[in-house]
Amino acid sequence: MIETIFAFFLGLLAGIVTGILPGVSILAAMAILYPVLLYFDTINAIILYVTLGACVNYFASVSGTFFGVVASPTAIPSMIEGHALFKKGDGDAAIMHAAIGSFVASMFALLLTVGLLEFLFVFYNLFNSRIKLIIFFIAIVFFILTADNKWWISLIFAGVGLFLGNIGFREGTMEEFMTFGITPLYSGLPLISVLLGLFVIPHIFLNLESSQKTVSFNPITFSGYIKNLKEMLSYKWIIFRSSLLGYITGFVPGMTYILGVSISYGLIKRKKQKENTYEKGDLHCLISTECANSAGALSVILPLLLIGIPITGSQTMIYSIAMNNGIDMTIQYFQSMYFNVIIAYTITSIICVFIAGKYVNWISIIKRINFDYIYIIIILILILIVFLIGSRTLQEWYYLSILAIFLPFGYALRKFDVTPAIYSFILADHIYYSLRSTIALF
Amino acid sequence: MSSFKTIAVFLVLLIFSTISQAQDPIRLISPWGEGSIAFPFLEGFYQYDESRFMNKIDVVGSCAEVTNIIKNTDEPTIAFSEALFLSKNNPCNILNEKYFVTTVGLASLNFCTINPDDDVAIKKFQRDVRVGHFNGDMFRIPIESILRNMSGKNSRAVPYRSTPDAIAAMKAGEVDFIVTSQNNMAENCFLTTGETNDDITYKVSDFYDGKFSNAFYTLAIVGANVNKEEIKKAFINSTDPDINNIYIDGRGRSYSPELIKKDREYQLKIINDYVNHLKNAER
Repeated sequence: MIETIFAFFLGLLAGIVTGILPGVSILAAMAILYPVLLYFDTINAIILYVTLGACVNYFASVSGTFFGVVASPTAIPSMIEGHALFKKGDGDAAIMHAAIGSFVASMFALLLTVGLLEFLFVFYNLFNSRIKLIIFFIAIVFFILTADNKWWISLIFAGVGLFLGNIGFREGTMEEFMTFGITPLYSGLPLISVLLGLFVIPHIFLNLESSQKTVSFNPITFSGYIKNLKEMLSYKWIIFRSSLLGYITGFVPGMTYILGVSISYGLIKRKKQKENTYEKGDLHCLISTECANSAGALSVILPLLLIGIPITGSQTMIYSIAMNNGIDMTIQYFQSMYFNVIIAYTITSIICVFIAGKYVNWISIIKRINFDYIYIIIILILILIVFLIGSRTLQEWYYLSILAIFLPFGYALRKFDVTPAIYSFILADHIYYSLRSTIALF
Repeated sequence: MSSFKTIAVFLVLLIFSTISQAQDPIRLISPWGEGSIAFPFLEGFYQYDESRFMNKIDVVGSCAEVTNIIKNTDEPTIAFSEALFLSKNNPCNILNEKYFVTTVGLASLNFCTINPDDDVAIKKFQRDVRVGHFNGDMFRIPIESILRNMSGKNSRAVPYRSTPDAIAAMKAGEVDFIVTSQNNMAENCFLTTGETNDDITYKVSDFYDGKFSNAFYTLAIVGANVNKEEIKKAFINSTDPDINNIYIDGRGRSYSPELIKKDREYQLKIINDYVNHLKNAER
């Protein structure tokens, strides 16, 4: 019991720190915690992982809204809308709506999981290469059509993203692409460098160029949460649709919930654009993307918990601990321990909603500072984080070089929507393998 | 006073002698991160002798990076490597007399399926089947050879990004079987190339006698600027369960201390024979 409580609070703390630090991913946090996890029972390692994952969402959302930075491509839409709201002086509304939306979506995903436990095998079909390939294709088309560019510009971006994502050496097939014998290239282009160089830092430059130097911010209060909670009823269909989309797409290995987030966001944005009511900093768009994100964050763990299939890097570590402890991760194992996971997940969600509010009030002192200085400090922190993440695999200079190479391109393209390139870059490897498997089957 | 001087000189000489005898600790490198199979093996080194091995493992970006470091470093360094990477141009190919130190273990190819009944599974395997796998040609060539000898004409090997991806595809009904070197990763492993793998009911060698009926690939230690015999001895001792608690078979790999205790030439021959089998099979 003591170990469970310790695992819970360690996950909570790690989740807060990971969410607050811009650019730090769950994978990096898990790699740091791994030596401690080895001493845990499998169930406690899972509780830590679930707690960490649930908590990161809330705090990463705050970092995105306040500072305009993201650690994960799935958080890009909420950062775009949240930060725009923040600059308009509606940061409190953005934070509270995002937090409540996330909480409701998390609970929805939990109920769905419990209710559908016996029927979740239906989602196994999403592991089929042909179905995956079709979903990936739909996703790319969707990224192209919903980006804020002319369609052919987005098409070029998607093509470039696929090309860049294929660079490297694949141990699965022992094939290499465009490595030119340069050893670091064999590990592929690092996502963090590409994401920051092509999108995040140029986006900060765009903010630096704006004439607005200070922001107003109303503190987060308990009564504010209650008021916003009532308001959220008017968004019930958006919450339902986005949560469901995020939940289902979370099952697709490789894609995780990027597609769910992007469809939820794209549908609302398109509708509002047609009605001429869309303006950057839209609450509907923000809520939809946060809901998809949170529901997907739960369902993405289910293939691991239900049938022992790790579909992300951080899950591989949990899987490894289970293997070392001689645990077969089957639906029977999940049924024996899911109550503990649900309790941990629910308590984490409740705690994080309020701690995130406190944190926001604490950092709101920045409203007195010229925001240009804050942006410059954030850029420096991001560069440091790239260095630190690269140093985990002794590739700090490689990571920084890739960032330096992509930054001028990102800067030149800062007024374009480069998200099709980012999303395609992430999916490239999975598209390649789905294609290879599909070809081999026929 | 003179005795004090004598003691002082003795101490200085002792310290000098200790420093001059001290060797640089050996650096440990892995191409895979925390949680991978490389870690328990490499950790065993510094748990066995903290003075000789660094108490941290450097994880590098890829197996190509391992090769690059081993070939260019001046420091005493050892690394974990999968021993079989085909083709001379392969950036991960480091298996030669210069760098090879010892095998770590043998990993047989295990055929697994969802069906819990071994008899039903083996009957199904003898028809047209689709077998999912990871590890590219290293697995594809032996699998195709086994399928040619044991299964229907239209059987095929299907590559996946990782073993979990192959298992997921099996759960989705896309492939009938998967091949893994880890017994306990899939639901039921019923057929193996490992003759001594008693956990698995059927042996490929019981059905036909060919190049790959006893196929396995090896996990190996490679090194630079080290005394290979010292490393090998340290490895044998560090993996002895009586000395420490490294759980060698935690992932169901068949581990063979007898093979590791054999000399390097013998180990290399076994591995190279397999490489040659693969190359000949490709022709």
